[in-house]
Amino acid sequence: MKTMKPRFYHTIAILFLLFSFTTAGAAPDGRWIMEQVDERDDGDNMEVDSEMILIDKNGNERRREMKVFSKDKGKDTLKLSVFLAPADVRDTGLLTHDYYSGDKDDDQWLYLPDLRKTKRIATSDKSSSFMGSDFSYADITRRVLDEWNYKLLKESDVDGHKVWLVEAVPISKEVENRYGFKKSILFVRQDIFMEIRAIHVLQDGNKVKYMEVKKLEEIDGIWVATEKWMKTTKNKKSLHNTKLLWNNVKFNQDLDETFFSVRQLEKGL
Amino acid sequence: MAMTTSKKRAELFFEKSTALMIRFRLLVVITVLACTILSISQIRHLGVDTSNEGFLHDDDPILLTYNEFREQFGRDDKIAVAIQSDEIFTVAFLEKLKQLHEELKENVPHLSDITSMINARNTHGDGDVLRVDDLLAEFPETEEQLAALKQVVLSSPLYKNMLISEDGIFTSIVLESEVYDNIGSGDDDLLSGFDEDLAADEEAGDPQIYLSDQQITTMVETVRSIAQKYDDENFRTYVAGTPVITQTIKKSMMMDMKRFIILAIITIGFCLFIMFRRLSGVILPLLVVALTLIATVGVMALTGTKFKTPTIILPSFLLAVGVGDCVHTLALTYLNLRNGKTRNEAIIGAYSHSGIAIVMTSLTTAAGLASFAMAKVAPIADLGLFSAIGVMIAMLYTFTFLPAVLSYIPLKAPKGQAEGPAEPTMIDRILDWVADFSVRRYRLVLGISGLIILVGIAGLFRVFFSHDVLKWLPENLDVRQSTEIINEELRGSVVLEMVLDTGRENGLYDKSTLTAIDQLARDLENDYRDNELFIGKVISLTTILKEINQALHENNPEFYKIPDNEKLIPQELLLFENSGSDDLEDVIDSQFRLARITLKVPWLDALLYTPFINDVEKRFKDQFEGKKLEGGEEMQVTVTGIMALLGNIFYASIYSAAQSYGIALVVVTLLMVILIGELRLGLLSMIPNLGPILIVLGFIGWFSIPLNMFTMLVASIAIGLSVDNTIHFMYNFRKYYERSGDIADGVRNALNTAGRALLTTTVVLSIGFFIFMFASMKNLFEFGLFTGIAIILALASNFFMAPALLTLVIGKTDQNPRS
Repeated sequence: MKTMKPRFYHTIAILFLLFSFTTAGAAPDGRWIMEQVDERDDGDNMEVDSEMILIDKNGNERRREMKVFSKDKGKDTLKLSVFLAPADVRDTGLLTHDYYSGDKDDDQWLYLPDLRKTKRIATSDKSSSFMGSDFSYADITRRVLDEWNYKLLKESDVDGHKVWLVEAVPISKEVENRYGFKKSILFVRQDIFMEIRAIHVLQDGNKVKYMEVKKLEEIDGIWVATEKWMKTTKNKKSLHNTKLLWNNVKFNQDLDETFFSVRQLEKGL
Repeated sequence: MAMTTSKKRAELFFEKSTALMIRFRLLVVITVLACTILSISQIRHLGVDTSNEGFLHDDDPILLTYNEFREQFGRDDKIAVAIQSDEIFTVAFLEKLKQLHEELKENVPHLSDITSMINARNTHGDGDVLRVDDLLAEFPETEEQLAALKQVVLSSPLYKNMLISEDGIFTSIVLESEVYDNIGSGDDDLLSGFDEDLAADEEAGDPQIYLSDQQITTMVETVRSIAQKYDDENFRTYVAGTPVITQTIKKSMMMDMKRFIILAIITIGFCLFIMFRRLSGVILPLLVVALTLIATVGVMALTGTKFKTPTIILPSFLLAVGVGDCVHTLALTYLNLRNGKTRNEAIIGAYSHSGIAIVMTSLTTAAGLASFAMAKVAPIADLGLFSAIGVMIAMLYTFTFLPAVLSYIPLKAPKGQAEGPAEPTMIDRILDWVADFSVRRYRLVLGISGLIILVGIAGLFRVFFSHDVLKWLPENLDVRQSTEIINEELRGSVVLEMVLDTGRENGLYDKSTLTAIDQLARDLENDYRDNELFIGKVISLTTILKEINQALHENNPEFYKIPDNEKLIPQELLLFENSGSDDLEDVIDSQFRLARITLKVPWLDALLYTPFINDVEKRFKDQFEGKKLEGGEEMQVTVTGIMALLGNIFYASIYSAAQSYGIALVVVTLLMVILIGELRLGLLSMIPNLGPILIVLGFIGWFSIPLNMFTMLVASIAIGLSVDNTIHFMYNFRKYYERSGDIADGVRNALNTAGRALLTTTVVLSIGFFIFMFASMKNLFEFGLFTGIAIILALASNFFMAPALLTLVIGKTDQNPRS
């Protein structure tokens, strides 16, 4: 009996090791998944007709149409958007420099055609609404991987596709304040490493936002969410919805960095 | 004659029923106790709603509009913490302010928004940069920065009277609560959020539950205790705002009412003992009242009726009516005992004699009170209905429980019956003198009472209404001072909310509409400038638009206006929407169709609000209503907000109380005629019935005491007692008058039987209610005073005026005694 004991523990230990290896093989950790998502090719030098439909809780709709150009600059993103509709804001333009690093505030310039002036807008956080929609700047820009702690929650199915549910929690209060999210649960499709659903628990007002990709298309070999819905809820009641539609997505357009300038913004299309 | 036989039959009925109650006394007692236990088990489910909204019926359009408003824009009744200091623009002060702000933000439950100098919106141009950020996003450190901050804060039209007083020594933290109670959601709940369609309509899911009163109380108390911690010489804190006032009133009222009802019960018990000199005479009436109250509240719970602020008058009311019922039977029972009857004979005799009168009084009082059930003000309707039910329960218990229990008690004739007459004769002598005086000197009596009533009626024209709950509180109370300071220094603590529906999407891009809103606001501010009711601030979409226009034009104050170029309006608003501030949703809907216009005014008597609200509403309606924007529907103006609600509650309560009293008057008169069985006597009986109420009202008028919703309810108690007195007196008078045909004899006998009980009831109850005059709250003091006076007058009118009237009317037309 005395000799049996150590051998017995040995066996247990080996089994344990084997077991943990196999589980690691079957389900990678959250961080790894999100790295794959971050590295996914999401295209460059893009031109798109973007349509935003804002729906209030009574079902009233507001439409906004924009022509959007975007270009990667290292890990940063340059974007130029010009309003096509409604007529009230036609030709109003928005130029943004999204800096990947959280240390630097994004730059935004808005051109008001009737003032014939461009104003830079200084915003220090990404939690504020983009164009009065349910999408915040945090939702439409790239998240900094290192600012979040990821945890794989479970696997699941969405419309017949296998997904990982990854929980993302900000690493610091500063990050939480900047994004305005207490935590997120991201649904990542296992075959194409793309976020197709997301739940964001907001810092303020017991609000929860739900993002759903409603239409996914492969354009020039790149998977693009051409219809995205975002719903803001409070106490499980829907407060406001936004549908974001992308039409005529074109990649690899001839866009020079100089195109993303205030001069171009004021010149219009 | 027919009347007499039917009366005989009724007396026989009560004899038999009482005998039955005594025979099955154990069953009766057990049944009543079972009912009581059942009621107690129900009371656990009694809902309490002491909110301002609780004053309105659930389907009242005013409430529906208000709820719609709150759903769109959030709560308008905010908590304000004002901080007084000579050193606001110092690092030390600002740091402390920040600490307080953070602590409140972290700890106050159900908080939806908190605004102070720390995070106030600061829209300004900085070269080619437009900044919309928190005022103290960058904390000032140097003297120059502090001076710059001071300059910005004091010159900003936005902050003036909101965040900072004009003299710069008061600043504020404003807290807004959630509208709905939050349902906590776990992760599993989170994941289910996709199940419903994104555009799912509102009907889906559970109904939203408004924050309860208790939750708001907790909120207010947390704010208070945190603010208290920071209070010092250079950081004087004052907490006010509608929720604070409402909560304080409720707390004081509940506490005072509880304390004084107990005191009143003790006093009444003591008086009953003095009058009866028997323990049973103390315990039984109070027991019947207590059981009645329990049963009544049980029925309330059972029917899902909530306990609301005016409901606290219910115990006092049932006390008054219940004690009356018992005293009548007990007084007669004891009288019969003294006359040598056995216990059961005495009890049965008492019921046979006064049973019918008790039924009549109960029915009349209940019918009178039930007239209130139609009232527009929900708790007054409830009060009417349930006090009517309570009266019926009290009657039921008086006929069943009381004789059953009485028969258990070893009742004996008072010791030394022979020497006894000494004290009773005193009362006898008084009663005889009253009877003799009012019949013989009926002209004098009528002359004097007529004069008093005339004086009362003249006083009626001086009666004015008021509804300022703050004034109910003692002057030295914190919330009174805080409210006065905030009224004065930060120019107001209550808001009136206007909602303009422009009739179409983007209607608020229309320059003429925005200019009109702006102009109306300015006119209103000017026109009310030197009024007691001034407008401290107007906030709307134009506030934001003007701000941003100024910021876009190098912060030049000349551009603090709606942009001249109409096309700039949507562009500037788009800019603002994109600037990181979500403040737009506080002033417009997401369609840019509805505009909220908030007018801040001081806390004042709700009476003053009504004409103000009407004026504001008229100006807006004249300006906008019926106009159409291109492609839109007609514009509409809605008035709402806590102030409109308070104003409406006040107005509705006066209107509906007056209406209810009118109905009660008709109902009671009809019943009097039917019960007395004679039109002439029935109508006549209404004079001593109404007299006391007219005199009390006149008294209120002559002494310039404002009549509020609470004191108005006094009249319901007065009606109840007055009707009781009159019926008992008239019933007994007729009985003895028919027997002897002599008015003087009828009056003397009526006073000797019913009058004795009435005297007892009056002494006992008036002292019981005068006790309320020791309350710290002014409205309770007034309640006690007026009710006490009304009770005494109700007796006096039946002791003097009723006999005199009978002498005048019967004596003239009916000289010959009936046979």
